[in-house]
Amino acid sequence: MLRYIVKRLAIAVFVIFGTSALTFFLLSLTPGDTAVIIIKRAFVGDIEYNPSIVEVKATKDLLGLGNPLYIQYLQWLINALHGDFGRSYVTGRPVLDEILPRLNATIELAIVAAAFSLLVAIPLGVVSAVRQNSGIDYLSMAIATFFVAMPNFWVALILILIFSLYLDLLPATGYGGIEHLILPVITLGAGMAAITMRLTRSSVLEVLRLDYVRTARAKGLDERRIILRHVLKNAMIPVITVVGLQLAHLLAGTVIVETIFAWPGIGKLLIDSVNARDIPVIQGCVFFIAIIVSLVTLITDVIYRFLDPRIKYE
Amino acid sequence: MLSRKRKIGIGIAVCLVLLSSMILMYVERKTASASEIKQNLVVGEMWPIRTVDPVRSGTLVKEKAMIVETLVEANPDFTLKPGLAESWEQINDTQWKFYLRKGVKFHDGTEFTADAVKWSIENALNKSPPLKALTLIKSIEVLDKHTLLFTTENPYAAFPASLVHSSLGIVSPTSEIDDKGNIIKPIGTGPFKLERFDIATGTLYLIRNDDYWSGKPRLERIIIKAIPDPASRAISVEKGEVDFTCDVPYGEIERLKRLGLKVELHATARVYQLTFGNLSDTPYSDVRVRKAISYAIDREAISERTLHGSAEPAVGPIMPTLWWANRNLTEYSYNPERAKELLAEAGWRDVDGDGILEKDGEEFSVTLYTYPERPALQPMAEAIQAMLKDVGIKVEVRVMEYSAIEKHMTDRDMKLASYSVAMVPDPDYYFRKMFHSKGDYNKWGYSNSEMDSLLEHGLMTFDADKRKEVYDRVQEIALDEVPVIYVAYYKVPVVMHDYVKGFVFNPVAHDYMLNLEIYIEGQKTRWR
Repeated sequence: MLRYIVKRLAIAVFVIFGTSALTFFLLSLTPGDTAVIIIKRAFVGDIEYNPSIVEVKATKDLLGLGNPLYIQYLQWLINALHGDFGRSYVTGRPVLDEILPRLNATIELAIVAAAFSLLVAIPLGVVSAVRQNSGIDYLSMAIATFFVAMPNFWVALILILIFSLYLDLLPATGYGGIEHLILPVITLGAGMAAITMRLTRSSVLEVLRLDYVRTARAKGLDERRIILRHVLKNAMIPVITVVGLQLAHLLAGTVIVETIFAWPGIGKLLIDSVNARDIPVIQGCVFFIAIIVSLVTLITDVIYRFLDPRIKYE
Repeated sequence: MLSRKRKIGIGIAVCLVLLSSMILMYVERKTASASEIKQNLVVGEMWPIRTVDPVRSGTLVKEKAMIVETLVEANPDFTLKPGLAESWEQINDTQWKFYLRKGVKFHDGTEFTADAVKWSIENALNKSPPLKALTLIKSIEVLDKHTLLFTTENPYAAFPASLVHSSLGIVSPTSEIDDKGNIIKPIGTGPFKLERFDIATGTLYLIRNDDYWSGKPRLERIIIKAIPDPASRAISVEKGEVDFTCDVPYGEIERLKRLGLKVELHATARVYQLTFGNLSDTPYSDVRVRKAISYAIDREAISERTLHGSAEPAVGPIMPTLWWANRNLTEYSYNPERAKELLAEAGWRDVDGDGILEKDGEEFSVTLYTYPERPALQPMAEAIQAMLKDVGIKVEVRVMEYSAIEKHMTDRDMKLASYSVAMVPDPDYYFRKMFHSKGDYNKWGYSNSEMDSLLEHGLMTFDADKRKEVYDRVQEIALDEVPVIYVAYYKVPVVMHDYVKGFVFNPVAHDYMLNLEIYIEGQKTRWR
């Protein structure tokens, strides 16, 4: 097992740097001259401003944008390996100073949203499967379908309308205590929960039909015991896989949620930086997100192994 | 394993605890701060707040947070007035002497002197290439503690106006600066000091400067929070999480008014205009076609109905309340019949009866490009599409990111955009870029030698009245030749609770500007 983990970590390193190279070159394909956009967004603050050639050249010199692409990337790579992620084009501050204060806000949001979604989805999924075609089954399937269909930002605004505006129970935006966390977590968690719940339900249904369950019932075991000790562990296998993938998507979903709720995370930092072509910050964000996603998938695979002893890793 | 009863009991207890804590939070919020009136203002800001370096965040640090000030300031009609400089005089074509105000101190007690000004402006010029192009400063010389001599590269009549630019806010060299010269905590001369900047949430905490040279502000504290989403801003102000904000979605304006919030719509020096792909080629090379399009647009309808009053119909590029506006321009009031006549004169006829004009076998079918970053543009583009259809021009609207438009737009297309006429309160800025044959904005090949010489002359004419004559003529030609079509001025909705008093709107601001006369009257009540 240990050898497997080490091998995965080595692969992760390639993935992370591969992602950063890909991002860098994709960014160079985006329309518009980077120097021009930085002048508009960071220096002048007016997107319709057309800088003269002199200004553009001076900005390129100031920020090192004149070099050919591969040299710019190699420069970034060498610096990154030394822990120097460069400075933001927008603020002039070191990229790590931009990312680190915001990282834990996003992680906090992601973890609590994931926990919320699992706490809601798995019990509901199991109950729906066990009491298939009952009232609670139809109700939860309807709600799940609803949240799968509805976009994030709509859910966010409706929640704000109801709980913040009409009932005045929770703040609309911002970061602070638990009361600020509730609405963003529900927004992010609801979509995830919907998918997880449906998957749990179908997985449990499938396992319930298997022979060993019939044997257990024939043996006279209590139904609850069967579900909790025998069925659940096996039903969770496909669910864990999907949840692992969903956590990666969660990081993408935070972009919208963070913007609406003014949540100080890296999702919002990333979208602001893409708009401003703030390449060092974009590279930095992608780098950290790649690390998180690689770690999450590794942990998912390890948990997988514990759930299903038939799986052997080399 | 706990028994079933125990588990249910614990479950109920947990729910009760959660429920009661929520009720407690609710009650606490309602009864809190029933004490004395707090002179604190919470502002919901529309742009992300990333840095407090005045060179990069000039608009925020000078106009909104009021931490720094510039040597020259501007009146609401865009005439100039003394700021940190008491007066200035022109020595020769390229040299200006500025006399600084005496007795002013920076927030940390250091004296405001010419050396500090020189340091501050040179720092800004080194860090921002556009500033150098805007001010054309060649050198700054300190003559004595309160006098400076500026030398410009070329004769530049707009020089004093360029010093109003918010990135040139004066900071003390004793400000906290990092090793690359970025200002981390600016120490300025303004009515408010920076207490704290929370990088992650993008929130500024400001505290009153009791020793401000022009009088103590009434507010004690200001908190500026970044809320980039317009719908979130509307909800925040409605709930009372912020006391003041601007730029809410148009659909919200009526609703917020009905709730008792003060909603003021103010015209700004930002104009929505239609530009053409290429003026040397059909169909736009014929001035009759351009005039026809101008006549075909119902500016009143667009401003009042399409944009719910968030725009004001424009005749020329400059709002009539500004000193530089030529108030005698002939307007292209809505006249679709005249538009059709002009198009017919120019040779466009509907030969096959399908409602679209043709000429030499080609249909008058074009694409109108615009971008999503300014919310009014898309509805406006669609309204224009409908209005042009009425006179026989087929328009397809395409919305894409501003930087992508240039790649897609062809000579036959049009673009709807908004332009700030006054990054600095001087007409040279906009007119030269837009109308000079070598202007930075002039991508459609407009070239008129009279216009060119007027603009070059205006640059070097230093007498204000003579300059006004020059720019009046510039506006006249612009309306005669229609190289661009002016549709409307952007009106910014400013929303505040009725306990916020003393706010005075100044169109010199890029978005909005706070002023030191603001105060809070009465309790901050929330209605619901």
